[in-house]
Amino acid sequence: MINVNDKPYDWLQGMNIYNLFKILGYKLEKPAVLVTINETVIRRSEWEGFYIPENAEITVLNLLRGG
Amino acid sequence: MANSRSFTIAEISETHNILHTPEIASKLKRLTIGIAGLGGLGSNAAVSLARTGIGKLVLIDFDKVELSNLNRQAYFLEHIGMYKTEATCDIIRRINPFISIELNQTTITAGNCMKLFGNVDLVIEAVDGAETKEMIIEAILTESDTIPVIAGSGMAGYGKNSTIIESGSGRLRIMGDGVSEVAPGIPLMAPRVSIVANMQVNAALEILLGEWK
Repeated sequence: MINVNDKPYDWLQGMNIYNLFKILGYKLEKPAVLVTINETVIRRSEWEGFYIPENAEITVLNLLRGG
Repeated sequence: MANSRSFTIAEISETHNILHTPEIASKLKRLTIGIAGLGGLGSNAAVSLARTGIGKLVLIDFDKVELSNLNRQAYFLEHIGMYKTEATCDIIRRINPFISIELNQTTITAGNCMKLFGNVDLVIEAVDGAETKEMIIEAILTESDTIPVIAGSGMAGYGKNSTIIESGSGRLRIMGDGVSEVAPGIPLMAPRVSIVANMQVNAALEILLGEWK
């Protein structure tokens, strides 16, 4: 089991962040997204090779233009 | 008529001691906060931090003040054409001339981010572009083990006060409603931008000073 933005999802061995987005139906329409796993930010360049551990607490945050 | 009297550092420090307590005033004087971008979020955050009596600010922005900035940014007509770093410095000096300020008119990149902010206690992310926000947050949180980042995301339009919230945890906090992106017909306006800027400063104080009791 993993938690994504406080909602539980099934954990699959070997799943990376792109696999997770597919499960979530997340289409990456927004260009800027932050992913934290167990409070550690995972760089976009590491999304493919980072394997999500079981029981991970994951936060996916959209960053919006404006400042 | 403007008051032309000069004030001493002792007078300003004593006022902060009285208003904020000596403990808080002393802690604030020892802190350095970096601000990435001096638009609506950054310029208003800088003013708020100056009023708290922060010891040092590191201000980074490549841009100059334009007339179209004055609907939400802290600048005045006389600042148009100046670098935002220098204009922000001018405003801060009028509030408290004894704050130490480091200015840099440069574009923040993944390569220079930690060089610019490596010596600060906390960074306020205040840039406009979403991808630049991601780059700054990623760079600081992955290349430093200690520096927190307070970001802003979702502040366009007006009204809907109760939707502006704080999210994130640990070293990353994000202020905003998370949905209101600036777009044609959805402008950035002073009230919501200033609210988010001051929430960023408020969260920064909470992280750096400890929770209010």
